Amino acid sequence: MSVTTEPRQASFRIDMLWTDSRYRSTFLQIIALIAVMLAAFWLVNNVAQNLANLGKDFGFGFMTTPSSYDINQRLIDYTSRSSHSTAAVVGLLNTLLVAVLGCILATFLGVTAGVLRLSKNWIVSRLMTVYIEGVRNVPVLIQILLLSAILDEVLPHPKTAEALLGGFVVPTNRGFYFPIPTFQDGSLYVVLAFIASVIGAIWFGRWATRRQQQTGEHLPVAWIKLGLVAGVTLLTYLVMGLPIGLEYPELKGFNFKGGIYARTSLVALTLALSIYTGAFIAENVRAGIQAVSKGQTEAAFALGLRPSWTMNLIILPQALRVIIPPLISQYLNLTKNSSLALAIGYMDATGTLGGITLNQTGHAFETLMLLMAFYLSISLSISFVMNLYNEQVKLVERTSVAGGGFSVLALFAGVNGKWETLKKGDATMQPNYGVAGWLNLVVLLYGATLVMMLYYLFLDQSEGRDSYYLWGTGKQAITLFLTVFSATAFVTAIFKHYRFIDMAAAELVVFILAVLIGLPFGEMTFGLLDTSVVVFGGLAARLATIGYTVFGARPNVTYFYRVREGSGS
Amino acid sequence: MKTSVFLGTLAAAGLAAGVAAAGTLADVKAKGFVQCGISTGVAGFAFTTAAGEWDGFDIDICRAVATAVFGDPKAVKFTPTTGKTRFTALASGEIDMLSRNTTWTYSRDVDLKLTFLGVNYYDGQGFMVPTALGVNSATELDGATVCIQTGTTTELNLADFFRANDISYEPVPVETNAEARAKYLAGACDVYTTDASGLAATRSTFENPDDHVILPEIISKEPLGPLVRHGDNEWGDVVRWTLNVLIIAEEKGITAANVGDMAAAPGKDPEINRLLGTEGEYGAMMGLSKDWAAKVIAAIGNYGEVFEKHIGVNTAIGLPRGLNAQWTDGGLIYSPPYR
Repeated sequence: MSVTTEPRQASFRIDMLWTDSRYRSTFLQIIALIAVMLAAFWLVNNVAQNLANLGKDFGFGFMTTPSSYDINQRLIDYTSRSSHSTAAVVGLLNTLLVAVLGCILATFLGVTAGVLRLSKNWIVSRLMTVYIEGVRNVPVLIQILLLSAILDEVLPHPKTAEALLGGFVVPTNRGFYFPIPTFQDGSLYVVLAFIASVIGAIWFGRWATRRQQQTGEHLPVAWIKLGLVAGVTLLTYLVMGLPIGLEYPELKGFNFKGGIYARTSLVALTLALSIYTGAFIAENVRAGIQAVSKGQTEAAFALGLRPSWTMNLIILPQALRVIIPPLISQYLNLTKNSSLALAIGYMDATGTLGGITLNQTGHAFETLMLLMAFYLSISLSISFVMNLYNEQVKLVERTSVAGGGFSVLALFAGVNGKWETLKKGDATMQPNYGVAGWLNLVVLLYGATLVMMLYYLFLDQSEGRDSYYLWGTGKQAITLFLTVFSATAFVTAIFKHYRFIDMAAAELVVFILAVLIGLPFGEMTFGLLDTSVVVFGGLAARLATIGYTVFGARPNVTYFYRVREGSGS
Repeated sequence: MKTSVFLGTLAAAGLAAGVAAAGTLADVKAKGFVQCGISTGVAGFAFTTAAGEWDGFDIDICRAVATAVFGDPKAVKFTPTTGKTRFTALASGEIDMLSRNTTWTYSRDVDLKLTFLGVNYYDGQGFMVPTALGVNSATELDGATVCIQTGTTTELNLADFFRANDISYEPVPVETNAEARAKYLAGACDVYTTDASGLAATRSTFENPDDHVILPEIISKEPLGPLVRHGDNEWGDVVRWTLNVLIIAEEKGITAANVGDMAAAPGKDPEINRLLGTEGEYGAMMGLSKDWAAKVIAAIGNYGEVFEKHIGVNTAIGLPRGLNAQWTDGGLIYSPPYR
């Protein structure tokens, strides 16, 4: 038996806050926090005061007035009579277009250049070095301006322009014209056949993988997939009597008409950004490949694998773990750099909302805040998605039961026994191919909700619909949260992340709130479904989803990699 | 930490003071020069000479104001601004006044809280096309690609004009006049539209000006003039009356050459006497010297002289006076009386 004596409690004196090490750090942190908050308050207050002194009032009402200017590249309906907020959305979509095209192209360029830089061929590897070092060390703005000037000066005027590649592209100094497919009667069947053959090819791929794991036999999967998709689609196309044609652009008046028109500003910006970012990605790829031990390659060769298989099956999967995290920041950089569009007159979000709208209305604070909110949400979304992807491919430790804060699952621990959330690499985890395929319908549910919400927030321009800025705060917040949580539930479901359950629960709560404030769900589905169908069907689907993920009978083979504690597997 | 808070507060206070200054005239006098916002370059209106000095029709307004305050046309610093940065620069106090072919509109006056101080050039928006296109009227421009400076009233006029005439076009937004010129000459756009004066100025810099034609349609009213921030009437008065002095001087026949003689002793015309400071204490009412107007005219010349020197028919720009003739000659240039 041990005897413990209570330490004598020294009575607290005020000077102990800075003399006693027990209190000092907390005390100092509180002081620092107060100081920072005061400084922030002071700055905000100062801005508000100065705005008031200038006689400017803060508000977003101006966003609902007609914009009065035209935008050349618009992915949605827009005229000069549309509102400033529609103009902003046109700009947002243009930014997203450049970001998506640029990220795809940059990844392609970067991976190619990164792999080729390691080539044994002296000329190829040196050429890639020149590309990477040359491009990385010149400011991207200059590259954008240069490319734009080259396109303007070098390409022919529409009057003298000629079609290249058998009419596939007409380059002019206003942009590139491509033929556009035209759909006639029966083309629906071709599209359906295409979709069906793609699904078939995916199914075949899974089957082939399973077969290979069981028997060790390797099929030429890629060729069979290609043959399947191309063959079925082509056959349907011929049987239906060539229902899909091409409409070629023609010179009419000042410019070409018809076809798909990619303006020089779009081409120059996308190319310049992807060439620039591609050089950085190439270095990431090279670093990732070199981080894989040389023994891996030697072992693969010793097993008799071809160099291309070694690269695709052994090196790249391991290299990806090193490549993904810096890749995220390259994608973010590309997206943010797209605001340099301003320099060559590409009408992105900075050009419309942060450019003409700002300038014509004079509401600098409001427009810039909206713009910052937009870039912030885009960047956070990209990094969210890429982090989930990283979590899938990253190196995992042997035991790593995921902890990390509260999860809805804990609420049901008493009912259903305690769950442990496992990660890949845990001893008890057994991934199972093709399991719970119906659960992928969950992805459709949340995907549909997300699309519906995005359309309702940004694109819906039907008559008599109030603008977002005129709604009550409650409705504003609920629609925003419903969008956010349906997006996070959607993405976590796609990546089979264990946090899905929390996102789904949060989404359910907001969905119920949205039902209570009477969001017009019927209208939001373009009148396809009745409001009651959406409400009750949606509630039932959500409850079923959450119920299954919590009480599901096959915990270890659902895509959440959970096991009931102690049950083993 | 206390020091950094203190420094932060000090810096923020400094910023605040810059914005919320009480009187621009006092500030200008204190710092010893006028900070004048100008364009990034339009031939005749704002350009740099071979010696690297800014000169031009709009520049002379800045120089006239500097002369009015300091008696020295060189007591001015220039801030080139684009169509998009100009109002922010003015509202934030970065510049004291803006003299940059800026159109006086209701919303700029009322909503952007700017004070327009008169009109130094009555303009209108026009279109320039290559002669080779064979276009005779703006209504034939269906489907054309149009270069346009963003953030200007011309952008809005253009949208309205094409909408009203129910014809389509493809806008190519550019930032500066120089950029538009390059695009237009490269054939990346069929048409360049801006104020007719700007078109004439730009055309004058082409290698073959005759290969390009300015279409007859003038689709808008563009009264251009200097402006300052709202709520600083004393400073506004200085700029307004400097412009008016130039106009009255032309009306009364006072030139840079003869102003010295006329200001030496009171003459017969009382308005000239009041203007040149040989009668009354008019300069002091505005916080300026007695003979400020005489100095302005001596240094800059009168409105007609400034016009002819930079953009008149005998220059490369070759603009006729037209609407910008004195009211006595059937134009719109008219100053309130100086009394």
